[in-house]
Amino acid sequence: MDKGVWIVIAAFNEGKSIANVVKSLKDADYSNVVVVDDGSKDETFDVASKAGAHALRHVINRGQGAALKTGIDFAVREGAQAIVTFDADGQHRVEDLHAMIGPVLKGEVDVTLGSRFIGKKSDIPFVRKLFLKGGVFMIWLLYGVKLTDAHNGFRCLSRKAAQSIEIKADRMEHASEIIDELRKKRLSYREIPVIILYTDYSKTRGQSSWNAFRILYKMILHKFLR
Amino acid sequence: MTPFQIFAGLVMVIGILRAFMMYKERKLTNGWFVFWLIIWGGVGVLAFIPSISYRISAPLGVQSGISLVVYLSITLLFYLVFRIFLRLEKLQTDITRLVREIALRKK
Repeated sequence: MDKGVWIVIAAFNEGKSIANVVKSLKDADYSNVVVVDDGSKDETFDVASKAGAHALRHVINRGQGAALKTGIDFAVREGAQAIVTFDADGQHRVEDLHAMIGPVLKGEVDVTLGSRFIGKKSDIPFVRKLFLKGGVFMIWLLYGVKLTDAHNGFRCLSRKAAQSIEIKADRMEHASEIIDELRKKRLSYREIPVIILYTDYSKTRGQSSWNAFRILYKMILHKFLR
Repeated sequence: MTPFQIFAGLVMVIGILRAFMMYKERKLTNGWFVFWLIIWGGVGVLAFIPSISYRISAPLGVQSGISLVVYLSITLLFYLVFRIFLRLEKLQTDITRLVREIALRKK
């Protein structure tokens, strides 16, 4: 795989799953994997290091947005040409990486965004689907960007996009913030069909659907105060 | 002197003393020092000469002096809470930047 591709994973207490995720990426010949341990209380950092990732550590928990930004900054510093944000809990498939990275490396678009609602079928729990579609609607309403899946953590950013997108939101609102940045910085993007794996483990790890309300509140606050 | 006046007087004295001490230790800027002097001084003045509040409220069109004091106090409290809120947000951002810098330096 192209040496300019970097995979960034934010991990908080993912000691049980992170080794497998890193290993599957390495096996698929993605040698540049950055794991940002976001102040975990478990052995995430050591496990990720042993598995062969570049492990960075937040001394205290700052949230997924903050951790991804740290990883992205690191990858840019190391000369990355394409940066993928990937989940730590095994929800994203290594098989989808090629399709995500291709358009960015070829220079067709600045950013690709994974979507579980086009093409391939993910087995999405009903309540989750309802909230995700609500999120898509709110993104359209607040930012005027039309997507099929707004809060999919699977993205690929070109070096230029990674350098120009500003992630100020520390916690989960960063997903919407990135979309808003795409529009503001006039970056081109394309949605790529991906499959999200809803395993029992990832369901316990992912955020509660109710957290959507907190994110919405923050989105509105940022929209009007910044 | 009524019990309320004794209480308000104590609050004023303690408030002003603390402001002085913090100012001496350079923990308060000139502006904030004057601000707190006015606030705590105002508490005392209103307690001992309540008629003053009416003299100010009448020309402003507010019925009673005490209403004006309550209105102004609530507005001031909201403003201070808002300032603290903004400051907290800034602190959060600064902490994240620090944590990020530490993470990147170790690598």
